[in-house]
Formats: sequence, structure tokens, C-alpha cells
Amino acid sequence: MDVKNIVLSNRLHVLRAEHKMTQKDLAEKVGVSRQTIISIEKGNYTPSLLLAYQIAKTFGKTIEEVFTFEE
Amino acid sequence: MINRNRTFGYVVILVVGGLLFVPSIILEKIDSFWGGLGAALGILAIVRLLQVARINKNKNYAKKWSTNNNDERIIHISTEARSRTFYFTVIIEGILIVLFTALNMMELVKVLICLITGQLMIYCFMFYALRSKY
Repeated sequence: MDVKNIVLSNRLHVLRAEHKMTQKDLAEKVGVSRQTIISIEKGNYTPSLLLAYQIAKTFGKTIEEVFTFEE
Repeated sequence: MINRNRTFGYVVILVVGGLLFVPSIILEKIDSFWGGLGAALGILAIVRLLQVARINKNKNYAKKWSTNNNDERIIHISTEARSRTFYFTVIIEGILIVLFTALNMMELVKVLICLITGQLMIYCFMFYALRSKY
């Protein structure tokens, strides 16, 4: 399996809406800038495993429930 | 909060800047080059010390500063920018070597060849050092 062919998408926008959380709130909880959250949501930036874990933990989900990997 | 070692480092830079600036610009005992260097170091240290003072006094600014400095996306962008800078620098140096050779400016060519060789050697060394680490 070629890693380059895997596309990472996420449910951040939906989960934020469910938890009534703004981008700024989430950014402050996980210790990054709001711009980073925007970039992750848009799919422009792939977060590190640690940040992905922190984000998932904030929503009480697993990484796979927040981020989806499609070939 | 910024640790004391960093503050101490800025104070040392300020003192070094002053030690270069005073004998050069005020006493005119040494070359003005050193005075310019001292002034630059002094200004840099003062700006950094003011920033440290602001960070220690203003909690909101400290939080913003910490987030911006530890943000992994910013670190990623910074690393990417350094990587591309190195890449383009090597290409530009290569072009300059060809250009200066055509213009028969061999002294500059020698300097550029030494520079590019040094850069590539450091790159290779860092690559193998990091490869053994990760």
C-alpha cells in the first residue's frame, strides 16, 4: 500500500458543531492556533499523531472516529 | 514563562554589544565595524528583553506567544521553509559558479565551490546522524 495514495479527511466541523465548540475553543483546548484548526478542517494540513489523538480525546472519540483514511 | 537562562543569554548579548559599541563608536579606539555589530546585538537583545518583560507581565500575551511558538503547524512551515531555502540556495550557488566561471572570476568560483561543498557535507552528516536517531 502506497502511503501517498491515502487521503485523510476529517469530521472536525461536524464534531465541533455537535459539541457547540468554536475553532478558537478547540484550538485553546489542544494548544494550537486557530489557523491550525482551520487548516486541518480544510484538509490543507495533516496533524501529527499526537495532535490527532488530542483532538479525538477532546471530543471523547477515537482517532478513527474523527479522521478517516481513504485509499 | 520564559526560563531564566534565556533572559541571562539576552543580558550577555546586551553586554557584549555594549562592549563592542562603546570602544568603537564612543571612544573610537577600534574599527567602526565592531560598533555596528555591537549596536545590532544591543538592539536585538533589548527587543528580546522587552518581549520577555511583556510575556512575564501579560498572561494573555504569554499564552498567545507560547501557542505561536509551540504550534506544530508553524514548526512544520518553518522546517519546510528552511528546507526549501537550502534547496534554492544550492541551486543559486550552482548557477553563480557557472556564471562566474564564464566571466573568468575564479576567486569567487573557488569561494562558492568551498561554500557549496561545505553545505552539502553538513547536509550529508546531518542526514546520516538523523537517520541513526530515527
